Amino acid sequence: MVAGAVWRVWHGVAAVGLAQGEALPPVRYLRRGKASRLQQLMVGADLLFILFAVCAVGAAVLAVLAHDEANGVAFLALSALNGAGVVAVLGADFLALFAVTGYLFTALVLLMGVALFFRAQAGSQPQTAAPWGRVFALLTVILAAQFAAVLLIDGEFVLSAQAAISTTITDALFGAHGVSLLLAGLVLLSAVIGAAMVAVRPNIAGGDGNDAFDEGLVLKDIDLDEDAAQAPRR
Amino acid sequence: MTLGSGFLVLAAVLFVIGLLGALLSRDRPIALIVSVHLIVLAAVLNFAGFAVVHDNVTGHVFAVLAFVVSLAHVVLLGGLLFGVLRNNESTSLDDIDNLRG
Repeated sequence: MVAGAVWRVWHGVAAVGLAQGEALPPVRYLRRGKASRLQQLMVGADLLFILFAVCAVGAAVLAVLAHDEANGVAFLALSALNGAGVVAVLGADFLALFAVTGYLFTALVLLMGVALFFRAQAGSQPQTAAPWGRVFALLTVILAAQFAAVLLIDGEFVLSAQAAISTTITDALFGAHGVSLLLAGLVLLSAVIGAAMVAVRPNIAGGDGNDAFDEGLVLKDIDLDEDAAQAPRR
Repeated sequence: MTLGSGFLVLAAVLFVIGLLGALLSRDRPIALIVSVHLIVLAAVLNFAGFAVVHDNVTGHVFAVLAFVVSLAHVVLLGGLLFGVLRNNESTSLDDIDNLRG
């Protein structure tokens, strides 16, 4: 009964995107093995699309509502990974890999910002143990379940006819759109240089200085000779 | 099929979530960055989806360029956040509205 309801809901959602009188294969048709290979691939791709889309939206909601900044960044990474999955299901594998790389870099930078944020507030507020372990364990379970679903559901995407699109994209990137790519690289280089200059510039935002933050950045003096003398000798 | 129009719905939902998050995170700069990235993700989904539907590579190229601009945004805001934290104890967006070069 529940499976039938889920099937009807999915069938209704999928029917919204029907184009040019295209018909979805009925479920009994699939069970009897009478559906064509293309129809089976369509069902697999649709299920993967729904899986990635639901996880992306859920992670996005949790990223916005998270009180802990690190949890928000982790859920953003999960949402971005699922967005990359959606892009992969759409047939743009190159763009999906680019998205994964870019958002991993984004998550790393933001996590560094979160660490600095907590270090800056360490002197003014009591530190509370954030449940990062549970959140990252949850993310690991979700990603493992999605990986298992991708393996169980037919992994061949419906738009596999565009498998050679990566070559086409690189041809376009370094050919007709080469100047745009060069300008984008210059923008990124300018941003890196500007970020470095802003980071080392004193008196930004007219502040008086954050002693707790400065103390957190200074490495503690470690007397290596003294440590070596106190080490137990064998 | 679902892929034909599903990406539009997904991108719209992500855009609305990001927009609401950006409006509601007045005192949390990292939450603001997260929300802006959700908006960028929605735009990239639209670029990729339309590029696939219309069989046009230009959409993929624009998505790549959007990603690069998004990375530049993160790098610049990371440096800005570092500089603000170095000089101010508060990181509330309302408290650092007196940025000057």
